[in-house]
Order: sequence, then structure tokens, then C-alpha cells
Amino acid sequence: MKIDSRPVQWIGAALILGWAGFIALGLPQIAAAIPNEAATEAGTPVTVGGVTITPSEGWSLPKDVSEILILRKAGSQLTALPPAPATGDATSILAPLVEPLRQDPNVTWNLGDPQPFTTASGASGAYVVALAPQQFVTNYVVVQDGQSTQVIVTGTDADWTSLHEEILNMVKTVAIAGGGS
Amino acid sequence: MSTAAVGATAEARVRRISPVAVAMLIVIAIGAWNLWQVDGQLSIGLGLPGVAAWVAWAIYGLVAIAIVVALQRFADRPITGMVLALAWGGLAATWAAEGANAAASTIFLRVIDSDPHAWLSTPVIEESLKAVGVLGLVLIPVLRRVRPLDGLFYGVLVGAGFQVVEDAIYTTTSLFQNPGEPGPAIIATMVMRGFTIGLFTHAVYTGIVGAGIAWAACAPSGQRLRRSLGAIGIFVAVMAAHGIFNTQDTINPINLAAALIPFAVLLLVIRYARRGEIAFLAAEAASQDGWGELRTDEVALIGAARPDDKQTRRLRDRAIAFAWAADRLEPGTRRYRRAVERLRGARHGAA
Repeated sequence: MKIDSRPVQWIGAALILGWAGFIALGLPQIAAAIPNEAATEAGTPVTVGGVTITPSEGWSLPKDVSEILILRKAGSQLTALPPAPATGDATSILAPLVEPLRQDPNVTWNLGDPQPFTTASGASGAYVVALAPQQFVTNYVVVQDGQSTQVIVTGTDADWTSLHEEILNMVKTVAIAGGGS
Repeated sequence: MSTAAVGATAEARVRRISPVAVAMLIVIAIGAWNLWQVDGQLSIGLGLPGVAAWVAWAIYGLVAIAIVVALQRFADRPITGMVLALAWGGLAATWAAEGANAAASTIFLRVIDSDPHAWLSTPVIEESLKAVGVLGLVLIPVLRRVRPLDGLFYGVLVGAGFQVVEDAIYTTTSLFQNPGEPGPAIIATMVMRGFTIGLFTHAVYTGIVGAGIAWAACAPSGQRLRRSLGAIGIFVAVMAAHGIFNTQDTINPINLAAALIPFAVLLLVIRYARRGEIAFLAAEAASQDGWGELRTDEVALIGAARPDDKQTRRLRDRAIAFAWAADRLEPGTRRYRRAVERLRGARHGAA
């Protein structure tokens, strides 16, 4: 069969469209269809991006996030940012982090006062709860040996009602890699 | 001319439009649109540094492509083929590879909890996309130059287009992620990816693959299977070289070898393909109308492996162009006439 015959031409066109379509559109669809969550084992520490946390029962870890520690349960998500040099104590670091919520023009957030806590390893921490209709954002800061990490938990107000104690207990297990215990 | 005749001519013209060309243009258009939506908007958002990065890579690309086009002295390849090759590499293949590489990374992380996409899937994705473009160019009848040197040339252009756009995207993404001094960042990226080892990667890899594709496409009937398997072998070897290159993050002997060995292979392919091209065209041209324009001694000179002077080389190159035109195109076309004029000019120059 000659290369410029019509059947070869149509097969070539189909090959070009098919392969480019599969690569450009098919692969992302396949990636999206693969389950992303890996169940964690309650009580077993998880370390990602220099932060270690010990989840309680029912939390899962997205497999394709390798730089930032993310845990999910029900409608809530916990995100622990990589450690950075601490610029003060936990409360002073926390203040500017919640400022954008105070100035949010679209949502009226009901912000609580900073609440101090101490982690299981003795590091100091503080958190501020921000509630709005049907949602919450809680910012935690843990300071350990000159390093600090910010933990952001978001979800629905129902999640906060049922999980806030559990989340606080998990945040109290936070340890910064390289920090003393 | 009657209305019926005009209609018949128009119909014949429409029937000649290659579905392969249409398919390539569709993918190129989609790629251009998506690149503009993502990388174009990102670059504009960066302001002057983003625009400067694109301008710098565009100048680099134009100079590199001008050199490549100038190097193919004897060929009379259509400009539409060159533009289509560059557009496929720079717009279609780059767009498709950008999303697919990210998707492959996600798939690996979700399935095996590690991410070897850079050296495992990226070579397959990028080389196959570029190779499909060369295959398309080989299949379009009006561009068809089914000889290894033609495939090599189009492959180099596809790879060069891919490399320039990929490097520009890499530079602007880097500027976005690491804001600071844009000038040194752009220069450092250009030195690394444009003037050291980056110079020998995509264009070289696709040039070799393109030569393999065209070598298989021009196979005599008894050698089609053997050459097709050979082309697949070449493709796999190039993907392996690309994969080895991608295992390294800094310049070291491993990625230098993965870049420079294929470059040496490309030069060897050019040397041997050119020799084969001359023999093929001399044999083909002997049976073409108009070949009698050359004297017997000139035909002998054209077939010589090592032309001993510049004038003979020029004569041979122009004769090859003529032979190609006479062989591939319908008599009476503009290119055919131009080739005949070139041949006559060469004869007069040689006389």
C-alpha cells in the first residue's frame, strides 16, 4: 500500500489525533481516577516535609503530595507547612497569620482568642479558631528549638464540632524534624 | 473555464488535502490555545521578566533554526513543512507533554509511592509525541520526502521547536517560583539549557528518530518489516538515552555521555544518509525527464563520494535538488521550474 493512499492517510490522521489525545487528555483522566488517599495507622507517626504528626483513627494521607504534610478525615483537612525559623513565640507568630481572616471582605469570620498549648514533646504552641456559617479554619503554630510550623485545619462546622478535640490532640503530637524532643 | 470545470478543480483540490495535515493542525491549534491560557498568562503576569524570557528564547530559537536550515545546503524542502515541524514541536508536543508529565508523576505517586517519572515516563511521552509529528510530516503527500535525511531534518526542527518552547516555559516557571533577580536567572537558565548540554538533547534525539522513521518509510517492499523493526529499535535507544539524561540533575559524565553520544551518532547518520541519498538520487534521476541536461562527466562527478572542489559540490547539491523535484513533484509546478533553473545555472557555472 502506498504511503499517500487514502487509507494510510486516514490511519495516520487517526494515529496523530489518538496518540496526542491520549497523552494530553487521557493520562490526566487516568491520574484523576486513581484513588489518592492512603489510610494511616492510628498512633503511627507520619513525617512529610520536615514535620511529624501522629494521627488518630480514620485519617488518610494523599499519596501525590510529597512536600507538605496533609491529612484528611470526613470533610476536614489538616495541612502542616514545612518548618521555618521562628520569629517569636507561638502567639506572636500566629497573630499575622489570622489577620487575613479578620479582613476577609466576603465572609464574616468569628475569631476566638489565641489559645496556648504544649505539645507532647514539650514544645509551645497556640491556636486561633475562626468560625463562619458552615465552615471553620483553625490556625495552629508550634515552636520548637528555634523552628516553627503552621498547621491549618479547615472543614465544615459539623466537622469542627465532632473533631476539634481529636485535632487538638493530634496537633499536640507535632514534632519538627531536627528539633529536640 | 466552465463552472463545472471550476467545480471539478476545487473538488480535486479539496480531495488532495491530507487528513494527516488537518489532524496535525487541529492538535497544534489546541496546543497553542492551551499554552496561551496557562503559560502565556503566567508569563504576562510576571511582567517584563516573563516577556524577556520568551524574547530571549525566541531569539535563541531563530538563530539555531537558521543555522539548521542553512546547513541543509542542497535540499529544496518546502517552507510549509519546516513551519509545520516547528509548530508541532513547539506547540502541539510541548502542550501535550506538559500535562502528561504532571499526570504521570501523579500516577506514580498514587500507585507506587515514589516518582520516577522524569527518567521513566517523560522520555516515552516526549519522544513519542515528537516522533508522531515526524511521522505526520512523512505522510503528508505534498511535503513527502521519504528519505532518511528528510526525516532527520524534520526531526531536528520538531525537536528544536519543542526544546525552545519547553525552555521558555521552564524559565518563566522558575521566575514565578523564585522571584528575585530575573536577569541573572534568565541568563543562568539559557547557559544551562541552551548553550551547554541542553544544546544536544531534544533536537538531536528527534533528528535520529526522524531519520529512522524515514528510513523505514522509504524501504523497498522486501525490507519493510526489517526496517520498521530497526526504526523501533532506534526509537527505544533514543528513549533510553533521554531517560539516562534525565536521571541527573547536574552536569556530570553520565548526562554528558547521554547528550554527546547521540550527537555523534547524529553526525554519523548525516554522513552516511547523505552518501546513500546521493547514490539513490543519481540512480533515480537517470530515468527522469530532463536529466539529460547534465553531461555524463557531470553525472559521474555527482556520484563521487568526495567532491574535490566547491563548484562540484554546488553542482551536485543543485542536481540533487533538481532530481528530487523531478522525481517527487508534478512537472510544471513552480518548484520544478526553479529546480531546472538552478540546474542550468549550475551547468553554466561549471562550464
